[in-house]
Amino acid sequence: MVWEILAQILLNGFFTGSIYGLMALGLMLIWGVLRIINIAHGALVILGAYAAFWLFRLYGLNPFYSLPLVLLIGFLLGLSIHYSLVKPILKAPELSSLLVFFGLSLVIVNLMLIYWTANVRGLPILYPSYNVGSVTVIGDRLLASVTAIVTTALLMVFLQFTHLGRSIRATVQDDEAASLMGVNVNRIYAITMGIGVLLASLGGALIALTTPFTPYTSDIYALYAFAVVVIGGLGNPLGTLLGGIIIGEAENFTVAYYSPGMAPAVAFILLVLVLALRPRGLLSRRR
Amino acid sequence: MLTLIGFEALAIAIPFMGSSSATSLFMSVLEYMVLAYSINLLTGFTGYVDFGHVVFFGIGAYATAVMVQSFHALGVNPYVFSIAGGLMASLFALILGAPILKIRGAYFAIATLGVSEAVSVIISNTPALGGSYGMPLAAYVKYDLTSAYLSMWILLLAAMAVTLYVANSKFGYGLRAIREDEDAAEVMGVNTRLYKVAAYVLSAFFAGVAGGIFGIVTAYIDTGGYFSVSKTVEMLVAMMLGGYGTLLGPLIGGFVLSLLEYTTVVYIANLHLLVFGVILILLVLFLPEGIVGVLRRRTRLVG
Repeated sequence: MVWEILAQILLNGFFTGSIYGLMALGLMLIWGVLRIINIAHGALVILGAYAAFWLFRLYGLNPFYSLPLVLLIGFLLGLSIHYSLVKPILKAPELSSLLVFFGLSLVIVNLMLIYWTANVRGLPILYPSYNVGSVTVIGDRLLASVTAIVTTALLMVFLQFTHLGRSIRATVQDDEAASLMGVNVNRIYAITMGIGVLLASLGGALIALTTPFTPYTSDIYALYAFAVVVIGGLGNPLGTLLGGIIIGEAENFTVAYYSPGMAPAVAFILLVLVLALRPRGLLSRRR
Repeated sequence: MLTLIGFEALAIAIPFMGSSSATSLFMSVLEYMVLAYSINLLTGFTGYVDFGHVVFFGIGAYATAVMVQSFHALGVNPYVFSIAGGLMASLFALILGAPILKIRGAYFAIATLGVSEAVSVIISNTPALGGSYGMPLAAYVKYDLTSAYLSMWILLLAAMAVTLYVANSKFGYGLRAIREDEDAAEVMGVNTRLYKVAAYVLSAFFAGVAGGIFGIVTAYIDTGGYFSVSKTVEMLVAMMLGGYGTLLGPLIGGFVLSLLEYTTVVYIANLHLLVFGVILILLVLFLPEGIVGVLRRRTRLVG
């Protein structure tokens, strides 16, 4: 019996954790390439969740069918954020980008609150669940988790084997050297912002499928994404996925053995501890 | 400067003229100013962006509430206990300061946000502190807006005095050196660790006392209200709007923003936060030195 409970907790932690990992991928990519910490990431994730939610509510679109539209919106939004807000401050001190994205987050969250209210939203259960022994596998979460893993794998293939992906990795390593080697760094920045926000909206769509949300949950997801990236390190999508799973497991074990209310504190304490011990991230290399 | 003194004299007189709504508006103006001074002492002078500064406001409120509950029988004016709230916030900053101020740049900002959310979650799961229901104080304190108002004034003047001292002292030059280039400051002999923690402890005190005063005024505190990220936003935007690291910036920024909130919030709740977001973006893009920075360049009079 104990083993079955343990298996259930591990599985739940894996499911939530892989979604956290996917949600943080966009943050990691932007952080790694542009050296900008997108504090509005949580707001963009929730915006993606609303996109999936409204397309379902208004047009009855299954979130997996509406995904191409949601992703396209995310990509275009990322591009427009880049050209309006990021480009002017690329050379400015870190403080500027931090505050600009903080402002952007305020704008997005409060627009969502004003137009869509603080009501708790979420999609109904769409897929059947299965029982394996006494362990319950929730269909929606399984699908979301599979999507997260597939996306991580696709991103790795894209970064490893395509010309654009190689240019992005070169920019992560050294933007000046990449520029000298003929990489159009400004174009890479813009595309990275596009892909980053696209990944945020994908994460949001999966959150809409699996977890209730409100505009206020933006802050929580922003912090979770930071915790994931700090633990998983920059530059490697697999690290991000693992970081997400670590937090998902820690959270689910806290819920099961300590107190459900304390679950969010775990990720934050983990985040602060890691930062205090390794001020540049757990898997950081010395530069 | 004369008009400023005139305004202050008028403002001090307000609670004695018997208008309670004007008093509460000015309470909010004072709160903005004090909190802007508080975050200015850390972020404005050292450049360490604190996204979790509200944690000191909240800890001050909770510590004060516990003091009021325990010692209300003594019969002293409850606002005295807000000093204990400030000291508690400072103590927290002292303990937290050494590890967290090792973290630099954006990582520091995120860590502070994490700390504030974690403390909020922990308090809302602590039954002794009322858990998620919060702590009602109405049974222990009587409604006394005049005392609250005067306490806030004393706090504001203290914050200004401390800022004036810091701005012109070796300590303040050290802090600004840290803001410009921490490694260089270290090499030039600034004890960066000590200076940063001192600024953190000092700034925590003012936010803590303000939290305590507001806890008593509202006679009810909970984690939702006293640890909300939007409170940090208000401090940060007020400081940026007025001009960071200056003496008069928080005063001007706090004044403008609180009036802006007062005039927008009656139409749509949360509209002011939307407006603040836009202001913050525009400030960084076009006016990074704030109002004081512009005035200083124009007139060289406002310091």
